Amino acid sequence: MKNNPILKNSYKFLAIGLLLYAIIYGLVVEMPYNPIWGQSSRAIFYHVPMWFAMLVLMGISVWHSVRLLRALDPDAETNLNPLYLDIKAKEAARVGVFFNILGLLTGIVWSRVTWNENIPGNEFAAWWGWDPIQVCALVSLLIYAAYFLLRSSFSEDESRAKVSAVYNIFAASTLIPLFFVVPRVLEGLHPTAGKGSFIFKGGITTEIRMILYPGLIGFICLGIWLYNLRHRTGTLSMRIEEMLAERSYQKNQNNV
Amino acid sequence: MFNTSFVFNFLLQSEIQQEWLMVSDKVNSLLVILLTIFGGVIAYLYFTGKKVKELEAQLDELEKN
Repeated sequence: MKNNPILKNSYKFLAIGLLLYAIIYGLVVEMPYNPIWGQSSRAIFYHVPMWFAMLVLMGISVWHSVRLLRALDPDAETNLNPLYLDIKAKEAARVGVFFNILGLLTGIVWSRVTWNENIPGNEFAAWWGWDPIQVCALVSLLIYAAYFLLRSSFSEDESRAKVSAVYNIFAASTLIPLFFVVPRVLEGLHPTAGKGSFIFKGGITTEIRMILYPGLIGFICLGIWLYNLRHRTGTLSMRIEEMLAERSYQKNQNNV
Repeated sequence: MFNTSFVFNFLLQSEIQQEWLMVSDKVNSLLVILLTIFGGVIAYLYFTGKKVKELEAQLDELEKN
């Protein structure tokens, strides 16, 4: 598969195809009329997939963190470089945070014209309704912001990789209550709040599902594309640093 | 640097923006959402792609010398 460029890039073609389908069909499909939502109801095809893409990327990130910790085990029979795994975990989390921010921003705009339509514009609540799901999304963003702050506090590569991998497992585990438990339990402004479901079980037509689900896959593929690109920058930077360090060492040896 | 007072002023003027977002049965809010997502993704792809090219050029140069 690695040698076949078509198969290697298949997820990119899938991302472009499915996203074009979701954009075009999402803008022309006849939506059930709702006076509060208006045409903004079509945002369901673009706002909801942000969270699924984020969850998949955070899953990729924690998977690499677990592999990293296993690679650091002295008894483990593996030749994986923990620092490369650390780069993979970091870049997946970074792209996940990017989708989290996009999800929050699009949610703020959407809530402004639906939930908070009648609140005066100069009130903070007009833009931020303190809905439990909204708050949970913000909390998850802050948890991952702490992950990057923690990383920046280490100067030694292996310690940074080890401690941030452990923290990453904790951060990923918080996503379960924040995205799967709280939205099921607490009442809120989101249509799914307190209904015992993270995904819409009722109230949306099959036609809407026919756009929403391919769109979800499209955004997930796009997230993997962005992650691969970020991962490449990380590994290239590491190779450059290694080469520079090696040259500096050789230069010092020659001087001695 | 990112100017936070700009964001604050932007939010204070939101009465006007709210009207704008409501135009054509809230079509404008949908356009803002699409622009946020795809504008963000395109900018992210562009800057990351640019960084990859710079790093590849730097690595090539190091390998040559």
